[in-house]
Amino acid sequence: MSKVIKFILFTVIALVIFRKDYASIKKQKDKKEKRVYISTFFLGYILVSLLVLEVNLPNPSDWIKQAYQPILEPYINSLKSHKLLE
Amino acid sequence: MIEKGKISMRQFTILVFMYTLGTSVISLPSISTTFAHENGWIAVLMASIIGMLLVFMYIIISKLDEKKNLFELAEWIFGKWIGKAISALILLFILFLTAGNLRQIGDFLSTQIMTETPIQVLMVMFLLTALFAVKLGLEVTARTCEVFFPYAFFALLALLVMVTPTVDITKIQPILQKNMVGTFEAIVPSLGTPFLELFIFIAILPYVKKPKSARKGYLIGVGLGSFFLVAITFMCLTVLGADFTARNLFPTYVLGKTISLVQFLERIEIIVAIAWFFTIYFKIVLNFYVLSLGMSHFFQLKKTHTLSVPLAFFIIVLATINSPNIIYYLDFILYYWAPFAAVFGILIPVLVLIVGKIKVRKKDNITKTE
Repeated sequence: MSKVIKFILFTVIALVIFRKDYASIKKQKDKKEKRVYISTFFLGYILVSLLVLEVNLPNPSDWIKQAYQPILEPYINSLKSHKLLE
Repeated sequence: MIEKGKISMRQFTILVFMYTLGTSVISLPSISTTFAHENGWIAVLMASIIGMLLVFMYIIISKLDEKKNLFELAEWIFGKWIGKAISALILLFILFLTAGNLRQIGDFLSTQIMTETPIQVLMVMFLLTALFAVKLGLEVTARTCEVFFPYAFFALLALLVMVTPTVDITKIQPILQKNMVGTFEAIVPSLGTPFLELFIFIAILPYVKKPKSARKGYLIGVGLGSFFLVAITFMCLTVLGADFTARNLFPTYVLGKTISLVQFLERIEIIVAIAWFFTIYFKIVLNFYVLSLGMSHFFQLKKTHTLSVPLAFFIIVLATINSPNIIYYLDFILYYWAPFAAVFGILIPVLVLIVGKIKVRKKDNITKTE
């Protein structure tokens, strides 16, 4: 299946999910609730679309590794020296 | 309180038990044995003791105000803005944790059982059922957990009993004679899953009917779960040996394959595997629920499940991108996960406890002088 077909399929599914799920939020009169829901849903939709379109998304695990690497280096080296299998 | 439902102490204990076993039941023996070798079970035992001490600390935190959950406590103790910042960090961690758990079950299914099925399909199916549970609320989740608990409990017990004839104690000897430093260092990665993740129950404790008995249930659940973790690691080591346990990413599944009773009862590992489908499922559901609850608190929404669907999108994206391959995942879980989780499982709770105690004392002094 090509990327574009996948994307169209996902968009249709997302629209169906939105219609079904938003109906319960629509009943509430609170505008803030609706605004927060729509913006997070839209953000989620964009992220999944990028994934479907096979765009290279940055990996948050890499950020964690980079942030912790300087502090953890001695600990990691020590652990590696006890590793059973290399 | 956003959450209107209440669960019983029994249900809470079962939830804690299922969460403790969660993903650890399949991966912990391998993690601890990688560094502690034949003393892997001792590393898990010591991690369990530290885990119980952490639970004691979480219980003291929950006592600061029994009616407030984790996110409400953070705002009450640190004030609106710092409290919100801490809540946001915790929420990011839980999002990462949920995605990691989903990836773990996806990896397990796609490499061991349904090898032809794409991992994304398996993850989406698991996430959809979890989403359904989150939408139905805490009460329904707890009742469902009650239904599946006997199966998970007895299947794991049966696994332990049925592999007993093949136990070879010499595989773990000499005990604590070699690799002492490695054994103690293995406690840190062993703590990462599940003990440093157990703080999420501070968010659920206010929704248990009797807070006092709930705290007891918290300890019983973790204690029972830890017993199973130690026992399974012990069995993996004595049946499969240290080398084989460390080499396999899912040694418990391999352990299930060794079951053979009078050449009649064989290849029943899938029955045991289904048991941890339940434990992992409930771990994902609880993480997802707390994430949804926390987001509703963060944005001051009226319902706990308002953002559950958008959050499901985030979880599936993160689960797909967070580990490009199994080697990367293994490297992350062995070296980085425990220190990362320690910030949320130790550092933040200690801060909450210290500042919270000072605040409660000040409040008491003011009321006394009045």
